[in-house]
Amino acid sequence: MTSASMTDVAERPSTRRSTETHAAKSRKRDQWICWWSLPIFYNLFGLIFVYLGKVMPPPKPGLTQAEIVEFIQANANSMQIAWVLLALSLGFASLSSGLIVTQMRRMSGVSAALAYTYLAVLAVAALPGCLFCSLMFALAAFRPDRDPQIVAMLYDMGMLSFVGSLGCFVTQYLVFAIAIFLDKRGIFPKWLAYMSIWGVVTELVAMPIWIFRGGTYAWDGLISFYLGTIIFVIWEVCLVTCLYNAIKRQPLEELTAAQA
Amino acid sequence: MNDTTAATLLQAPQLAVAGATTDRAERHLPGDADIWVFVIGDMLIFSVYFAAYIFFDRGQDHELFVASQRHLSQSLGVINTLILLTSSLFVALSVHATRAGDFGIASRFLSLGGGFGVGFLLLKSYEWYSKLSSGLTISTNAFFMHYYMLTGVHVFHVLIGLVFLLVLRSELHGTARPRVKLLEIGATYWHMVDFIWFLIFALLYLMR
Amino acid sequence: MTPYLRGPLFYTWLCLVIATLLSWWLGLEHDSEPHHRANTAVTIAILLIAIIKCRFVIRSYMEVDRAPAWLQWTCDGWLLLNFGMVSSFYWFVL
Repeated sequence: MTSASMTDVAERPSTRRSTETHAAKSRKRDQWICWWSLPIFYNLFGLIFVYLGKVMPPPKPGLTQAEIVEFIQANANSMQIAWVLLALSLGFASLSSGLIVTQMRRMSGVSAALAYTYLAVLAVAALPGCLFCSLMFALAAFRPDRDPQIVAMLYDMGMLSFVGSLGCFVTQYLVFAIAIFLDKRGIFPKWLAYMSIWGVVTELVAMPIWIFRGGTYAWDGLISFYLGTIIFVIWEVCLVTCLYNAIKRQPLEELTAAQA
Repeated sequence: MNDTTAATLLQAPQLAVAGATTDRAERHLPGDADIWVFVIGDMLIFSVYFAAYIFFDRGQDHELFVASQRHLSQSLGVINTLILLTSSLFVALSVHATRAGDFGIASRFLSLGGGFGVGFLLLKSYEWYSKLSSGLTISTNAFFMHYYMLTGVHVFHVLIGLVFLLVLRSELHGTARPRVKLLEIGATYWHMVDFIWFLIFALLYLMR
Repeated sequence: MTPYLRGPLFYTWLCLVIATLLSWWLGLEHDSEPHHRANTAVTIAILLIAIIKCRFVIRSYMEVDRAPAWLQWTCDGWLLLNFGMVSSFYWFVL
């Protein structure tokens, strides 16, 4: 939109609103691209981890080596597709981090420190929380000739890191909650901060998975896995919705001159 | 303090005792909607913990659970319950004092409430220490797994509650006109931590 | 500070203390039997007392008695859910 055409349409009030909306959208386009990565990536994530990768719902922790090898071999084909897909697509998850950080920078009373912490901690968390699992299972699926003891170890490493990579996410949730509480502009609603504290608790109740091979607090347990996953999904849906509203409500004046 | 608050405050004694509801005009949501999302959600989450304790593991070996329970100190449990419900009293009183404009008194009540909260944590730590010294760890059996997890998650909630109380205290000291709403928000959370403990105490320590 | 302590919240506190001590007393071993026996009636009584204590805190300390009806129903519903869930286990499974 050049300044000449902007002056033209200023004389016609009926089209001014649609022009502004279009201008607003085009200046926020980069944020919208980032936002779309969330529903796309998480649907892909679901496809990969649930249908193809077979790690959600998780296989049992207490399996013998022979059973583990059998599990891998029975699902080898779909696993191979799953983990190659994840290896290709995981990087796109960082788009959402960039977006959240951009919105966090809009908060008042909050310096860049918390936003950068969020960015850093999610960059670290992606490895144990997501990629490590896929790498271990990919290795097991692509190398069926390996010693069963090695396959069993890959299985344990994959699942334990996936469910048990606690600290990074505790930090993520806490930093996010603190930023929202300190923010006077209300970029994100306070209830999202409270939900983030639930997220911290889900990581705490996942701590025992390192000890137990069965029951409520094992990596396939009702509390450590299922309740944790449900809370995570609810939080993620709320986050995506709140991000949508935050971008939409962001005043144009806030966008830097570079984006004009 | 505006007229509505004053009227509500005057009616509060009779209502609190009778447990009666007021008519539409005087209904007041304590705190704000956000904290109630948090509190009700947390209540439901704890219900899932309780369901897991009761149905999934206790059902498998009830005798084991009953026998293991003997190793818990009911006395320590009772003392902790009394400590926490007293702290709740003080936090509730600090809200009332704030409403009446007695900010100094409100702050003192808050400190008492928080102090009792810390007392709860100290006693709980001692209780854990004495269990661990007897060799009863989280992996001893299913009962102790739930014991440490339920009390552990609750302790985390107490810690969060203490942080909230600190925020309330700084509101009372730091601002010229402390917001009653903020006090109500923090108190609502603290009371939830209190009554969740009542159920944990009953389930783990007393009920056979 | 004393005027506040003499108010209705003190009576709530007193009821909570008495209820706590009562449920503790009920939970003590009264029989001469050496083994810690399961006792459904005592257990349900203790659970009921705990639920009532929760309701006291919710209604009085948390001021839900003056809150909108939806909140009152939600809290009562949660209490009923927990009572039903736990007592059904004890009543029907054991």
